[in-house]
Amino acid sequence: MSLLKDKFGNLKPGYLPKFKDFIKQISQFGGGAEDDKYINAKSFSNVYELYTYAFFIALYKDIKIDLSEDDKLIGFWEMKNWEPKALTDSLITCAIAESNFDMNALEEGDSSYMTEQIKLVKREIEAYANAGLEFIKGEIDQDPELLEDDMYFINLLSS
Amino acid sequence: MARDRNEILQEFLKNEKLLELLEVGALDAVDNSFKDKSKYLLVEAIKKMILSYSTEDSTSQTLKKINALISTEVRSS
Amino acid sequence: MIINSISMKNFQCYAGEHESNYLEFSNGLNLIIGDNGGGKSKLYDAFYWVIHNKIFQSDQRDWVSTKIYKENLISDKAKSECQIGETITSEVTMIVTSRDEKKYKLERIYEAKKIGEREWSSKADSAMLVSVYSHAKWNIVPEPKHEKILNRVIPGHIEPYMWFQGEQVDSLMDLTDSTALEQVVNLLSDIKDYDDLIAITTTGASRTASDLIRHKNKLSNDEKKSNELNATLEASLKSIYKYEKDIEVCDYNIETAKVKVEELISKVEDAEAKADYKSRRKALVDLCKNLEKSLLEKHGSFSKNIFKKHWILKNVDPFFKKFEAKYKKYSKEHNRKENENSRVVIKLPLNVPQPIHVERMIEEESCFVCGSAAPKGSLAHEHILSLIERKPPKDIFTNDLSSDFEGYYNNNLRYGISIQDIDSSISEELSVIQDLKNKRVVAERQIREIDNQFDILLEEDKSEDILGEFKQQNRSRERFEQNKARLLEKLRVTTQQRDDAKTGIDKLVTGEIDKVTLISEKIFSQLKSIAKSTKQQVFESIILELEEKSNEIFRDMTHKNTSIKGKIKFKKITNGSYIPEIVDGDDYIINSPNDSNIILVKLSLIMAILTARAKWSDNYALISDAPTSKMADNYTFGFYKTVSERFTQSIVTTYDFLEAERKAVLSNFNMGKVYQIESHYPSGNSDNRADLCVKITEVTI
Repeated sequence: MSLLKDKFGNLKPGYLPKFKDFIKQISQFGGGAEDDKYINAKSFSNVYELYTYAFFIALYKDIKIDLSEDDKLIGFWEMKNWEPKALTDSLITCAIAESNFDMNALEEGDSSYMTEQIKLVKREIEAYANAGLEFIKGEIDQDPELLEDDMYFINLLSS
Repeated sequence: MARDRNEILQEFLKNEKLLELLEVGALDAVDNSFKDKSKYLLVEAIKKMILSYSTEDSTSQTLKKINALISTEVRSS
Repeated sequence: MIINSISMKNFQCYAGEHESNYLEFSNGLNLIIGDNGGGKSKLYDAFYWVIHNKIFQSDQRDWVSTKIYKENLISDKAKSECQIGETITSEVTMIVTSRDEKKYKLERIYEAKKIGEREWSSKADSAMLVSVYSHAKWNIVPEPKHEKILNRVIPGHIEPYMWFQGEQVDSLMDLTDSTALEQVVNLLSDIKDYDDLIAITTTGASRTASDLIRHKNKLSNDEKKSNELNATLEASLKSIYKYEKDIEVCDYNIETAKVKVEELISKVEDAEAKADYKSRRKALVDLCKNLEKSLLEKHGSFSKNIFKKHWILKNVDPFFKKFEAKYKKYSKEHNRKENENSRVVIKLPLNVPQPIHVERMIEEESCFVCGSAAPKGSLAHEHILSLIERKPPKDIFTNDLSSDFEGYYNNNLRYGISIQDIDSSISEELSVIQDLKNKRVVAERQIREIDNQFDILLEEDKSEDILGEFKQQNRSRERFEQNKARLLEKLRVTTQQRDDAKTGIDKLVTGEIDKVTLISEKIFSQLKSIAKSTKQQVFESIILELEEKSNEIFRDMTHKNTSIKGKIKFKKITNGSYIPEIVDGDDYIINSPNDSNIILVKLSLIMAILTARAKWSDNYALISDAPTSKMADNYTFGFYKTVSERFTQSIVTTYDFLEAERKAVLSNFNMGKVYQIESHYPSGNSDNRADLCVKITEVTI
């Protein structure tokens, strides 16, 4: 396992607490709910799917939330567990591209510098993903019917 | 209790709902016997329930025995 | 127990002593052949009277106790011959053998004293004597043990299926009652054990759930809010229970309406048009179902494709480019540092081109990158050789991350081509979905069309005015389906409320929840759900076994009759229970089959029950009074054959085989004793009931 991938793999990006219920509403949260056979199928089968999706939507729409150290984000699962792995890698490259992450300086810096740089990427991912969540939640709050429309999440990619 | 308790245990253990909850495809021989101990607390609870029922314990006696089993297992883990 | 003999003294028409009214039985089919009024039913009564102390009152079609029937059960002949002041008895004696070869004598005696020409002073009730044979004599069994022994002759719970009158068969099992089979399964198996276990786990689950709630309340930082949420939780649980019950009712009604519609279809006279309608409609309905399924799958996979087919990267190109630029800049700088002190400047990263390609370049004396020749000794060849000798630079970087960045870069490159195809991939999937939708619309339209045609067929059908009812049943089904949809939505909302309340309660908890309380709740809730589903699984396997067995018996009984095409099918209805149906080869219900057929199905079922798991047919005698009375002639052969082969002992009264030439057929069966009985008037006056007795003759086959 290479050093950098390892560091990124152990990142646990988070979401703002205000999104917790919303995330629960549209993605399969934790284990399956065996007994709730009548509950509608959720749009995303994992929180990381929704999170990845929210990241890219915000990236395409160029919206970011300015997160501060005071925001107590809720982390959910280390990135090394997200699937598909290649997609997660691409997400990281986009965050690297958008952030002030300095590839060359990293090769010469010490471990605290590296930690700092990795944190930059994590903040970038969180800034986009939370903006994406905010955006999607806003739309669905206004029109809950959207969740019934299979095309909604596809259309959002094109708009 | 006319039916053989082993038969009841077999019926429980081949139940798909149980396999689903345990996230296994099939169970081991130790799960299938009252003598041996299964690694799954749920299977042990089933055994305890059937054993107690088959010895014609009252409902509250049966529940007590299952509770005691859970309590011991949880505290020792 | 197996019945060795029965004898009667002055019991109903069986006037006279035990010796003249004695019938011995053996294993196999014991037949008592007699014409109407010959004493067949009274013989059946005799068996019943010994065990139950009750007599069948023909005018009331019901069993009445000896206490009410009194001296009426004594033979008219005996009563008339009795002198005033004398005492007379009516008796029935049965000798039975238990499985452990113990012989019991069961005697029921009723006594009355003649006090006037038509006046009797009767005992309030009959007396029962039970004796067991041991040490070469009959020993009296004390009364408290009687009930147990009588119950061993024929256990109460199987008696309705083991001892029956022909005219009762129809009422023994209501084929339209969805609980009938359930009762049977309860009867013939130990499935009740599972019900007990469900009850235990349900109690456990509810207790541990309450414990957990109480515990969470204790840990709550806002007691008032906790109480509120608990109230909501309780209310939603109640509503969920109610909605689920209501949905069950809807399901039941939908099923009933469906069965009725099927029945109506079967009443239409034009068989060909009917068959055509059924098959075309079925094909279309199946098509609709399949389309629906494909659509559902497509819809499901549609959102999955966001990840699987990485549609999510649809607009990622500029960002990949941005990374590429950053990587290029990095790579250039990285390379510069790497080559700072080296003789030959190589601008490609380490292992690019990969070593195997470099080796081939050397062999073929050619550069694969620019295509120029690189003959041995040339500068170009030297350059290629130096690629092989390249070692990772040492101590230039604190962390050499080039391979990580290269990995990321390559990963994006691999996505590159497929990203260009995303638009077409999405529209392809969309067109597949649209196509399925269109097909479904067409199929639905066709169903409506053939339904209209069928309405016309019904209107033209002269057999019965059934169009109205047909439409009404269809409407009622639609109504229940709509109700169900509404209930499902309510259920969904309430389930959400329940979950929200649970989450709310959890949020208020401060401190750590006790692990044992938490795990107990989880384990009991799992036990409850497993107990329920195990019971269903056992129930279904019994049902399957019963269905197989009934069909086996049904086939046996009908094998001489070529007109029967049906088979018994246990149809699962939505509430989880089953109803037996007679269906044709294509699984369509054969409705209004003749009575005989229905009786046969019921008899098959009864025999399947008796011969299935518990093997009652081995241990108890089947006793039936005129079982074939409602059966067509050509089924009786199959019936007797089946009974004779499948029951250790049966005692059957019948008017079949009255004629001597018909008795020949009996040699095909596993026979016990055969008797012919007939009314006998010693004085020759057949109008005088006071002269009536029964003549019993054993027949040799």
